Amino acid sequence: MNEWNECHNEIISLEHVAYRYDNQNVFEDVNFKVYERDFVGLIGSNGAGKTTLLKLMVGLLKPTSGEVRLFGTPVRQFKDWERIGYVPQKNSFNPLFPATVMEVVQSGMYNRRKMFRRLTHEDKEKCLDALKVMKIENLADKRIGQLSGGQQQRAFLARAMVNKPELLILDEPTVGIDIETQKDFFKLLQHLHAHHEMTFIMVSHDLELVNSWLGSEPVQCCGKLNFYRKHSHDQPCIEQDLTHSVMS
Amino acid sequence: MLIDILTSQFFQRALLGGVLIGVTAPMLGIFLVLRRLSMIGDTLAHVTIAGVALGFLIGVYPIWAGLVFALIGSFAVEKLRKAYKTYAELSIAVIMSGGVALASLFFTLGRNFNANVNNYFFGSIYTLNMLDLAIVGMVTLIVIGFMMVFFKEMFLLSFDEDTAAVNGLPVRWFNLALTVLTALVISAAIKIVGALLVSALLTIPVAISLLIARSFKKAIIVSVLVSELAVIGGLIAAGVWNLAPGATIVLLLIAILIITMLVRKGIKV
Ligand SMILES: Nc1ncnc2c1ncn2[C@@H]1O[C@H](COP(=O)(O)OP(=O)(O)O)[C@@H](O)[C@H]1O
Ligand SMILES: [Mg+2]
Repeated sequence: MNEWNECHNEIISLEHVAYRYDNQNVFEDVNFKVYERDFVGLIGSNGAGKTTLLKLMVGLLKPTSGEVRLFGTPVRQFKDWERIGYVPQKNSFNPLFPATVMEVVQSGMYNRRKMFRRLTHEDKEKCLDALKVMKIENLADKRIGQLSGGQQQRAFLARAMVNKPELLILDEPTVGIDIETQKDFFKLLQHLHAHHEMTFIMVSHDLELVNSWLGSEPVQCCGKLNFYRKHSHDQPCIEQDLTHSVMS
Repeated sequence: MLIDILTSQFFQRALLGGVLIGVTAPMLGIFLVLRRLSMIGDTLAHVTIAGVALGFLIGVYPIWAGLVFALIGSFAVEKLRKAYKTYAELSIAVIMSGGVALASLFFTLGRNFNANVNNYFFGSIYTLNMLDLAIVGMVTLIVIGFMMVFFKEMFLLSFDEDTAAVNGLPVRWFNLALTVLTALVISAAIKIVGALLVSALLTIPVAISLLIARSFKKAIIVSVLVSELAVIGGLIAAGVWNLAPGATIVLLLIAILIITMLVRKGIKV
């Protein structure tokens, strides 16, 4: 039996999930569970429904049938969105959008609880920290559209991290980024996974990379979707304070 | 001569109305432009004119009737936008022609008020009365209040709506609020700059600020400053040289836009 089933909570659970757009069935019966401190890689050809599945997980789409649960709560009733960071597929924002990197990163904190409230000094410090972790603090005052693709992706990752989410959901985070930056990026993810108590689900088109990291065999297939999984036991799960080991 | 004009009551009312709408229009316009809804101002203005004409026809204060039409029009745009997701401009074309058609229908029904309706087509800032000013003032308060309270949420919503939804923000509620505010601003602005030019005040200051502003806060500040410069400068110029005020304001805005494009390398903020 898989060891993690016993010692970790369900973070995401998909039960008999089906989804169809107006005229097209994307998938009919997806069953999958993501446990605490898993790193799940999701692979599938173009149009397999990977993005659709992630959107179902974060409640942007409602399943045609079946149930999606986050941290044990059905998505519809889920309220603790700070626990989740989501980086959508290729942020196709307007490159002329007048927003600095800092403004974009701070927007990660604009949630229901922060409505009618200003960001505190502490909040802003956290945003600066996230920029430092992504090594883009020197770009804080640049317009987001002026950054390179890789730098933008780091900014969006920083935004998804400002609330120190327990679950990070990434949709093809490295598309359009040069190999060197991709390597850095995955090192960063690996570190976060191993040393910070985070759970990941990442869509990737890079089978080679997923294989070398998450193993060569998918743990589960649902139609055209292939799930790979690696569970972190690099650190005992009880370990609490690891924030000092910010990646270098 | 100049002093006479500047101190006359009708001019001061005009200036006050212009200054108020000069803050409100770009403040709202930036959210419309960034969400690719630049043309919605024009569309709703034409619908509003239909309402104004009906108001004259049935004896209701034209701005109130225009406001009701603007609200209906803005909801219709939203509905159509959902039905034709990938053809946002289609909803705008449909509603705009509907507005023009209704307006001309009402015109033919009541020929004797054509002159009055012209005030709303081309703007008639010198005929603002206290009720008009009160309406503009109220709308200004509502818009500024809303933006102060929900500034950060509106930022995220314009930057990327999906993330706003995943963060648990009531996205539909905000979209509805933006729609209603747009209708309010347009019906309040229409007597000041005229239906044909109202979208200029919503969009050109924003177009200028997009050229030079790096951050969102600065974009809003720049667009409001630019719009005030054009409104105040345009009104004074129009008063002194006896020009059409709405047109002068808009042409001044376009001049500022051109100058900004020419020298923008030097004025990044
Ligand atoms: N908004 C939409 N409306 C209709 N069909 C869609 C929409 N988005 C995606 N699809 C279809 O659903 C299928 C799955 O899309 P998607 O989840 O984006 O795939 P992937 O991310 O794996 O490439 C595709 O065949 C696509 O054409
Ligand atoms: Mg995809």
